[in-house]
Amino acid sequence: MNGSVTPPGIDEEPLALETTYAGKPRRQRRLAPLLYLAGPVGVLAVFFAGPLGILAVYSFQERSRTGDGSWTLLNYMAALQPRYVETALDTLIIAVISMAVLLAIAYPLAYLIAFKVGRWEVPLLLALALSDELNPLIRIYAWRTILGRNGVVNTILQQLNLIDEPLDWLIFTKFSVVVVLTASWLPYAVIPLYAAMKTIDRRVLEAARDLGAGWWTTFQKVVFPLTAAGFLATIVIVFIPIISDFAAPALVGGKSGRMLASVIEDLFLGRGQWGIGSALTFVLLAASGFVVWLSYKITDISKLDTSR
Amino acid sequence: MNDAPYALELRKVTKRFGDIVAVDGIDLQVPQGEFFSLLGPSGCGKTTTLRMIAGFEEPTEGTLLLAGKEGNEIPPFRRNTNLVFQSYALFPHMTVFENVAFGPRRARLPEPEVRERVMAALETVRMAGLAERLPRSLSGGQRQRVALARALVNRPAVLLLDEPLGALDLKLRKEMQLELKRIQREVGICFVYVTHDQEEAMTMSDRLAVMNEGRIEQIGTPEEVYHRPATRFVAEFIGEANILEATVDRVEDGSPVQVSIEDGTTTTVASCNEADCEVGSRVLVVLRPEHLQLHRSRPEDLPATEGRVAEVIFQGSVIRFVVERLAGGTLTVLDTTATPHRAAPGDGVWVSWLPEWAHVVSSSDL
Amino acid sequence: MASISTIHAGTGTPGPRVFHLGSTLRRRLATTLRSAFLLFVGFVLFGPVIILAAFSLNDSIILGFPFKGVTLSWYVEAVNEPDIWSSLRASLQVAVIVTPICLLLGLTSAIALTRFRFRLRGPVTAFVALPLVIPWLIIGVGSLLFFSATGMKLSLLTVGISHVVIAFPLVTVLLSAQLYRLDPHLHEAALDLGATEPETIRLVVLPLLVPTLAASAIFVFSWSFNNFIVSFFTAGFENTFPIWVFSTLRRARDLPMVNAISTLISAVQVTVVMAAWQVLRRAMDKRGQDIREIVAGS
Repeated sequence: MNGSVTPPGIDEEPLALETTYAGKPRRQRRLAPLLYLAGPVGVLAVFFAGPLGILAVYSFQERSRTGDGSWTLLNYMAALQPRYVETALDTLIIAVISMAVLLAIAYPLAYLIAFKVGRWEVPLLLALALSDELNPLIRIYAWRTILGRNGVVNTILQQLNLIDEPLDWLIFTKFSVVVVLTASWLPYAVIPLYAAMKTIDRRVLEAARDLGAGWWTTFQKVVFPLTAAGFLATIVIVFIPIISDFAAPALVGGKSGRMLASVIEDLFLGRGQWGIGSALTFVLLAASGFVVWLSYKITDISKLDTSR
Repeated sequence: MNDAPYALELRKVTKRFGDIVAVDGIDLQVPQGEFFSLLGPSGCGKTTTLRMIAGFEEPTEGTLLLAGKEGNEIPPFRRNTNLVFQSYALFPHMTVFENVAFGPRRARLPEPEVRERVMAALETVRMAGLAERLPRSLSGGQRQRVALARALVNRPAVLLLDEPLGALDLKLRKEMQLELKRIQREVGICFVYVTHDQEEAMTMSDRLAVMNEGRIEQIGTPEEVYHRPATRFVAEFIGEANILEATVDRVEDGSPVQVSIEDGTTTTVASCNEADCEVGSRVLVVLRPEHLQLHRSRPEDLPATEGRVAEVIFQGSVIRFVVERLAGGTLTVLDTTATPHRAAPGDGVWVSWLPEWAHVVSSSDL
Repeated sequence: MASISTIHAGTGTPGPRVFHLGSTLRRRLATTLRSAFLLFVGFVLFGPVIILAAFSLNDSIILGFPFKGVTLSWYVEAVNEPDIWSSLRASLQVAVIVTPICLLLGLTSAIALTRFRFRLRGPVTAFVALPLVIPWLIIGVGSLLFFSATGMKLSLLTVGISHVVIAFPLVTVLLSAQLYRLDPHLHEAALDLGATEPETIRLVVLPLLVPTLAASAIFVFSWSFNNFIVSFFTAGFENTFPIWVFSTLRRARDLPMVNAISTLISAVQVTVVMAAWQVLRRAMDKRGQDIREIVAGS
């Protein structure tokens, strides 16, 4: 707060966060955070750490319908079977393509909303939020009206006599999964990018323009470096749910659009193979963890904390 | 309460944050009704001192007395002090009236009295017409006035102000300085004002304390501090100072009365803050720019030193000359524009001073 | 500065007319492209659902063309389907209970993590934020194993518990961002003016958090109401609305009914959420806050 007038010294804001004051009982200072945190941390310690812990344990145990719970590494070896590896690769391909398409749309969109649309800024933000409030299953399923055999695309193309038979790669393929994932996660991709762009001073952009920088140069030298943190935040926020998505492949994926999550669901609920399921889950978790780690490594953690 | 000799007293107060000593054993007494300033560069401990008085920090050592009573551990909401924040800290969800009424309502005053007091306080700061507005619709200066009213309405024994004019532009700041002084005289409350702006402190204060690195360098009236600075730091922080190294020639009652500067010129001096001086000890002579004069040739009846004009800067009412001394170092001379003769850059000149304004400080903090 | 260059480029140079024409054309093209892009995004977000709504009136069992005439019969069928009502009631129950719990846990954790300094602040912050980066699927299957291992019968209660685990950390993040944005001196100003600490929280901190709390409530409620993946694993034999939709989508015969009820539910959601945002926006305007802060802060 004082920064604009005097540079921060030792007597400016020695404590911006905590409320200590003269005469406050020390016991109260010590216990207050404990009091506030008991509930939230307690809930997570039991119902979040518990499930993750039990997954970890089960992944090292004999846990099929006939399993006896003895310790084993077989689950992880089973998880490396070709059919799972293939699905994992398919999942990765779908996730990476979806991410690329998503960023290609979300980045310019965030830029437009932040700087170019004027009084439409808030309505557009609300539209993004609103689309996210709709039931995701309905949003996914609704794409069948566009991409289905009798859907909008095929009907129009047939009416125009561009095709004789409906295109069969539009739905129940990797293509439809990518389209649906992109559409589903667009709001989540735009918001962190928008937040990052909002921190750019408009005058910086104008200055860049005024100094003769073209569209590309302005983007390359000014906008992108300043939004890099938001970019990585977006990757974390969106990549993790995409790589573990289960509804999109189930509703529009067909056989070729299967993803790891569908396999895991089948192992747990269909075949009762809890051990292998847990091991595969941990493979998935490791993949997500790697993405988070990579992003945190590249950006400043504290920055991510507030821009998320 | 009013029997207490001082509204506020600090005895050997120290504040440490971990290894950092923010305030280092300061002593301070502020009588009732005084406009007192804590002046110093950022990081000097002035804000920490203010926060201790307000109750947001507890002194690590020493005693804080509020109206004669020990107050180290009184929490801020029970202290008879109020603070005006630099950021104003107006509650954004409350109207001007509600902001000002916040204190009286916490004191459980009956609502008619709250109303009366709030309107009176707003009247004092000339904001009564905007009582129903929200802070965000006010200008910086207006917010400043509301923040002041919000503190004044509680009739504190000591009103604390933390660089309250820092966010205002120059013209408004000058206006508010006079306004603050008027309000202080009107309400008769003791004001403790923190600032890094020496001009601001000089304009408003009855007395001021100059702080540096957690210590008080000097306490005095603006005139005392300006004309008889206790240390080189004070001399250079308050106004502009020309500093000459010198040796003591003659001592009377422990005070030097005559010194000679390095180039051999001797001069009598008017005052000294160095307590025990001996003949031959090294001291510093402080000369204010407006007490110096330029001459084409060596003046006969005044002490003077020789140099060459390096720069002439026209500043409206005054002209500033920067003179490079032959003996090394530079001197700044201020002359009124009315003076007809002008020196030009490159001219050889003599710079003289009036011995009755020459002041000596210790060279120990050299 | 920018405007000076623009004027210069437009009229100051020799042959300004040609240059001027070119830049106008270019600007018009840019505007057109921009609008086309925004329309495309609008279509991606809302097009399918709108077309679905249109097909829900189609007198045909096939989802698609040709359009065989308007009928409300699918709506009648949907309204008379008891499973829809019971699953909707279940989802509402869960969301109604989950939302206040998430707000409470989010609020206390946000206050603790932004207002106090203590040794484990860093690790605890990371722990509270962790559920945000763990795939929901994993929390879902993990919860399934956890509940069956601890002998808790899968029910709406277990659904609610796993919803809380996932949703409250997001509230923590939203509220922390708002708390960080608040001038820390507001808190001190209140103490200085004679408010005790509880009074400070009640009179100053909470009122300034109300818009963020409201936004969080809207978000958590609809998130919980819409959540499929976690509920799917933790609901056991209970049906929440998304679970009902998922299982019904596998039966082609019932698809038109799903269209109808989906359209109805979406219409209700749009109306409720729009109204809530409007109210929120007005409340924030009154407080001098900007709704964009909440979006940007999330």
